[in-house]
Amino acid sequence: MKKFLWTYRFFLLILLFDLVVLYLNYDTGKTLFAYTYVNFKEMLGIIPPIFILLGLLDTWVPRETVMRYMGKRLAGWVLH
Amino acid sequence: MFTTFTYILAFAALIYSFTKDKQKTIVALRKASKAFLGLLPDFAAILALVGVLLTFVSPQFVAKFVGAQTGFLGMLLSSLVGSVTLIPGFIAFPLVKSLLDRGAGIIQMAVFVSTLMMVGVVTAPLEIRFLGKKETILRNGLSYLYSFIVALIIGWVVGT
Repeated sequence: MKKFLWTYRFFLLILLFDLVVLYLNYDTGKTLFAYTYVNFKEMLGIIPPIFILLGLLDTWVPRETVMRYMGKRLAGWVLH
Repeated sequence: MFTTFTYILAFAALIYSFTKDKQKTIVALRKASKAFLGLLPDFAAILALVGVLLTFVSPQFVAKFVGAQTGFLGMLLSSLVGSVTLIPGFIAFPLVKSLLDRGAGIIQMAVFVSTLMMVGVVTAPLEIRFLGKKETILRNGLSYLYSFIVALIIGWVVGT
């Protein structure tokens, strides 16, 4: 729990800020949450297949091959 | 369109991989979720931050500072912010997209992304330690200039 709070501290702080805005000005808060929701929906819709493909790439293609063709950076990024 | 394509591709690859080697597929999925969860804290923060940005920063405000008609000054401002900030590309692109939607200029955003990726003021001391002072200054300086050239080409090709 403590670890979770620390890992997501930036996100939670912004969320807290959002809630304060919602409390102080309902309309602005509503817009704020609507934008945030759309952002999350859009991004989390795009990401999962990309990560599945990266996971498959990482397990099936040897690390050396990835490095040779794409450079160390991508390999490092995938494998972290 | 692109999303549908990646979903189809991912599922096809997953099914194919599963028929080939069940164990490896499970490992792959575990790696995928681990990578995703590792990125999620920063990503969630940025997505929430973009929500705040969209609510409080008006298109006029964005246009005034980094809009297409701000020209060189807007580029300079973008390049300075890009040079000192340290944001992974994965997170910077959605941010830039929302700024573009808010009326930021394509050339200014191109400078921002390029300097963000290539010029690192914060990481310079580290770079000096590994590559040396001369190389670091040269690399960052040239990258900085290069960012402007690339941005102009992008602006010319895409057309603001």
